[in-house]
Amino acid sequence: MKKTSIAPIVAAMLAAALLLSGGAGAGETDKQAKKILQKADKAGWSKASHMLFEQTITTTSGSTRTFKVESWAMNGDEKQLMRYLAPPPSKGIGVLTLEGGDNIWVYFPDSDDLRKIASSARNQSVEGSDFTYEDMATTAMSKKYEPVLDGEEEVDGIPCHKLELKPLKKSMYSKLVIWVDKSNYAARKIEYYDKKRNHEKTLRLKDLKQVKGVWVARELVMENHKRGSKTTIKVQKIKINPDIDAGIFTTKNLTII
Amino acid sequence: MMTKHVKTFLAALLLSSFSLAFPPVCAAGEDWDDEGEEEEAAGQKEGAEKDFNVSQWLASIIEWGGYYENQLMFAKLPHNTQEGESDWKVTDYNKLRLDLAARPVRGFRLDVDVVFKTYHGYKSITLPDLLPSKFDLELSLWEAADPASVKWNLENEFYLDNACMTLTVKMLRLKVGKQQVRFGSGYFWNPTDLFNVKDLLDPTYEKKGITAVKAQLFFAQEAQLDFYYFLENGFEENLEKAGFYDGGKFGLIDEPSLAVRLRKSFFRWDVASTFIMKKDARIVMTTYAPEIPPVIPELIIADRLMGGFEFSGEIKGVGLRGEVAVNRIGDQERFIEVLGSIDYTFRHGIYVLAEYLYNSRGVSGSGNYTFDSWINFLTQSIRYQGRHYVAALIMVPVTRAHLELQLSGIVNASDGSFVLNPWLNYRWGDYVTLSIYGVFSWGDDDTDEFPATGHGVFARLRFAYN
Repeated sequence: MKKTSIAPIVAAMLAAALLLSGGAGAGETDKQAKKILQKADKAGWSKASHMLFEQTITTTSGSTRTFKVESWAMNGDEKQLMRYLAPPPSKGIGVLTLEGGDNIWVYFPDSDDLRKIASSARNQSVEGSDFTYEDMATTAMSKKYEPVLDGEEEVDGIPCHKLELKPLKKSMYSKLVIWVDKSNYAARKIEYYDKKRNHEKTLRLKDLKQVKGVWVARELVMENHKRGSKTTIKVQKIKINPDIDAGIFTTKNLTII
Repeated sequence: MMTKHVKTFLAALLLSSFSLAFPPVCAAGEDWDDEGEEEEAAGQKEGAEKDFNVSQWLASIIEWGGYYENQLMFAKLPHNTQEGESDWKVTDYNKLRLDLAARPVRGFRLDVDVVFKTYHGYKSITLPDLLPSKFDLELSLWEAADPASVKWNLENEFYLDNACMTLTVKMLRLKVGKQQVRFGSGYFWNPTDLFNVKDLLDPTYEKKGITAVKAQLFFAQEAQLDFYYFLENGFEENLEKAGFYDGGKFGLIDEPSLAVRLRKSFFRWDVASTFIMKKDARIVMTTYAPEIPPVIPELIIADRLMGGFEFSGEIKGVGLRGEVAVNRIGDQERFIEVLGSIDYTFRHGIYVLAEYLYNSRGVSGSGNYTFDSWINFLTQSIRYQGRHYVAALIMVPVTRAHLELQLSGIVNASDGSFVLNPWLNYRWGDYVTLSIYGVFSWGDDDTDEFPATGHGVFARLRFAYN
């Protein structure tokens, strides 16, 4: 009787086992990544919010421009109303975004001019800052990006999950990398990569505070590595889940100053 | 005019005097979730314990701000009829604007802007400098008959603007006084706006208010109905804005105008329908005798009705806007104006826009422009003489926080003339803006429309305060 070598069979079985375990492991990792991202969304999501913040743009030459803004939001960033309080040239200008930023109106009080603007305006930076309108819409990331778990790293000494995010719909970026605090799932840092996969910007979320169960970063610092500029947003006052009437997110309310 | 606005403002102030009987509403009466809440609450409690102080209360409800602006202009007019003088003219203006606003109670607001403007340098404008030379005979005869008609000076101005009160109660908003009025979705042109004169070379610059009563009814989600009763016709304003006003030569036209506008949002589109009833005032040059060219201006006033439609929206991020205005003047004249506009913002914020305007009342070819049409064009009684116009604009944010470049071009496709308008806007910090822009026109100086703008370089410096 001819002896049959079992080596190839074992090798095939081992290979299959590795593949299966790799597949199963990869599947588990994807699920874990999605779970982490969903928890991060939940950690920073509020039904409604009202805040006063200051945005300071620092250019490469060191000069600064500062804006004071009051904003209201509902269902994360599905509905947002922003009003500029300072400086004088921008004072009173209001921006209303609905449907997560797909429907945008801007109101100029000096000329009583209500203008509907195309959603491509989101490609603009917000008042010359390093934030684009896409960057400002940081809630519900699990619906906008596909996450992949990329291990663990510390950010400012805090252990974090590291996730790589690929956009699910049209985006200015090829990918994002996000660090999520392991203890409370608050986002600590986000890196933005352009279409050529160059590291374009880094957002650091600082001074985290839990307000009514929601983790709020009271300071956001966006560094633009291409331009060498920086924009800092400091939250001066915040109210989570205030009693906001959905009627304020209308053009009628936008034109009241 | 100043007296009229002062009366409007004082009337509004008297109406608000009842508010002194009611406790003032704090501007920020909300509780905040952060630590500042306790300190603020303590401060408010301490404040409440003090006696009510009128001057402090007034200081708390009145907001003020404004700007100082200086503009230096180097301009070369198409025809220099001043013998011995340079073709290039230098004019400068200083403008100081103070904006005051008060919100004594929730839902009620008072506004007034005080504007002071002085002119320096070359201030004398003459019609022969602006009109094609083929009208030299008519102009010389007109000047001989009435020298003051063809020349005027830029005069210093001091006036109240946007002096009005606004009352908002639930679904109704009432605004009374001199106020901003905006119709239309276009950038360079607005066929549905019969009340404002837009500077093609600076379309977003502020415009003077118009005295009116406006009632707005917000009757459904993103739907509103606006009623306007204008106390002024707008013609004298046009003359004033075009620099032709000479204190009432043609008589004041105080016929009121009416407008109704219905606006609604559907999905990602805004649409509006506007109906306007006003007096149309136009200058017609007449003559004593057939052998003498018509050089005696007469003002012809007729009823004008306009039905208009406008929309703003987008497809795949590309902005689309349009306006249609169907006009009837008197019993005979009917014409239509149509505007189409497209715009897009690219990555890194580069913005492009293109517009097309069709004017059925216009004529093809500058040879068909008449002396009448030129006079009315310069006074903006008619906005354009040609039939087809195209405009394009590109805006590039060079450094996001400070420097922005813009280039626009407008073509009168009916006579082939065009004008280029490059801009540079630079912001120093939060309060200072420098704008340098040029106006360069091409075409036949003797016949075409845009060469009347001449060539020029302008530098505008603005200091905003508070």
